[in-house]
Amino acid sequence: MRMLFGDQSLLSRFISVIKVALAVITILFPSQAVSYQLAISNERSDEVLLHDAEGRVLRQLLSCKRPRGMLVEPVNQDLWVACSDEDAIVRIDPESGEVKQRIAGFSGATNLALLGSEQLIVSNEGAASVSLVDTTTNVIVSQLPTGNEPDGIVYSADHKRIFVASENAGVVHVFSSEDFHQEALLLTNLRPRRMAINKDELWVSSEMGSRVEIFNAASLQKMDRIIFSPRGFRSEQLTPVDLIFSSDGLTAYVALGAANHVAIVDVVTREVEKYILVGSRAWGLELSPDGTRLYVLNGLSDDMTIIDLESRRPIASERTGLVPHAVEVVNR
Amino acid sequence: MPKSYYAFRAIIDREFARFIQQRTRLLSALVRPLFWLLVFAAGFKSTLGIAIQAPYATYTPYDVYIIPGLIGMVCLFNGMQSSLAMAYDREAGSMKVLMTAPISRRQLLVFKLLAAASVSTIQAYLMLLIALLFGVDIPLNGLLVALPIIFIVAYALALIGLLLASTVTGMENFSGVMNFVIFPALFLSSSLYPLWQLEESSELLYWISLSNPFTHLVESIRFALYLQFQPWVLGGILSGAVLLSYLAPVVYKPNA
Repeated sequence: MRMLFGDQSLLSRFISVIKVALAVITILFPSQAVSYQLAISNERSDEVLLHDAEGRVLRQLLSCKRPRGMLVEPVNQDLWVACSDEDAIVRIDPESGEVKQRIAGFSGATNLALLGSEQLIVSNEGAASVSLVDTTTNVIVSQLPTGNEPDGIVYSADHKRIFVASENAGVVHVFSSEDFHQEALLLTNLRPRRMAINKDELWVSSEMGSRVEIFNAASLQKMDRIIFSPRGFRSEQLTPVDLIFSSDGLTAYVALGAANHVAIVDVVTREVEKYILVGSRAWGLELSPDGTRLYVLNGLSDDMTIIDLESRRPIASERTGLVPHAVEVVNR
Repeated sequence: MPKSYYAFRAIIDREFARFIQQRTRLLSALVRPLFWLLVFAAGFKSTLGIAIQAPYATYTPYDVYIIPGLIGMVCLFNGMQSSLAMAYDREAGSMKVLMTAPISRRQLLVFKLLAAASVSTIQAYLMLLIALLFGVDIPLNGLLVALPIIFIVAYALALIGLLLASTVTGMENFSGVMNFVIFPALFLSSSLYPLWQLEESSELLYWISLSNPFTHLVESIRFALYLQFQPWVLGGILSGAVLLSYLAPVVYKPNA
């Protein structure tokens, strides 16, 4: 060092200059760290765990039998959890884990969606129906028949229609969200699981059809399909389940189940741009609030792969509980 | 300029002239690992990606996994080939001419090894460049960080080759040793498959592979590519290289 800087005072001056430069850089380019956490329901270990944004387990939020679908209430940020083997749904504070509300009477509650600010719609896997529940009175106000094993629930962009996928029946039921009458029945490929709405398009994943089918959410006509075929996999391994759109609606991410990959799809061209290797049986998906990360739950390897969406590379896989099912961003 | 500098320049120039002129040698040095990468890895692409092991933070495709092993393969083959050249030099008598240079035998051998390691490193980076062109996901910052490690590994492998060349007399015997050294070193290591997979098949093979120095050379490259270091392994490689460099002139007899 003496050879480089001559004497100690010059070295300390150099260090001071570096410190000042770093301080200027910090002021000019403040770090835009987004603060949020993740809640993950784990079917086999009967728990909902809280993770930090890097995927590390922080603590257990809830213990209930076979927790599966979850949603975050937009107003109070509380977390609703479908506890399938307790035939109940539970509302908890996602920070403390305090149970604030519990409503029973759902046969194998699988997934849930918000209907306005005071009603929830819950798919009952064991009863081939969805239940409408008033969260202010804890009363199930209506039961709508669906096909066997109803799973995913979504709304049209104008909130006038409710779509419910019945995986065992191979159909999507279309209900009016005003009077809840059945408007139509969409025939899909084998085992429709999850759906996502992008403007006027309804995307439905077909678990046994190795594809996503695209319907017009207004006319209910089938518009297109995307068949997945990453190299080295047989079609029966391609079992898409969860799907999610980027906030600009231009990119779709599809978890390919037993193919252990996530597909990145260009929404406009319908082309698969990239397949990203993740863990075993990729199902649940969630985007970070700033849209730069995709969280992928791997049901059979009991972990979660974090994908950096700018480089489109997996950056880490972190342990979860046993058989992780759904992931939601909480405490943002 | 010291005399040793001119001797070093002469040896380096000779090694590079040989490297450039022997185009088939360069071609075969690249074709061998690329064959593994583009053909073998394509067949095994979906077999890996089922477990995470250090230094990887997530699931790894097979073509990414074997990159450090292929770098090791390039260095291993070139190290052995340089040794073969030294055996040839010894038989042809050109080594005796080199020995007339005004430097010690130890310096001469170390310069030969440095030249061989430089050629190995260049070959390894040419292979990496082609792999990148074929879309293999290699961390670019790791390529820079791994450079000194790849050079040290190349030096160590050339040194092992030199010691082999010292103990074997006659070209025919040496080519036999190459077969008995290169293939076991390659296949009984973590270069082409992770050791946990070998352990599932045979615990004996696992322990043999774990005690294979080539495994640790490859792993040091693997860790460096992902900006991680195993100080004990690296220290072992460096101290082994220094010790063997010291012993090399004792065992290498240019007129054997």
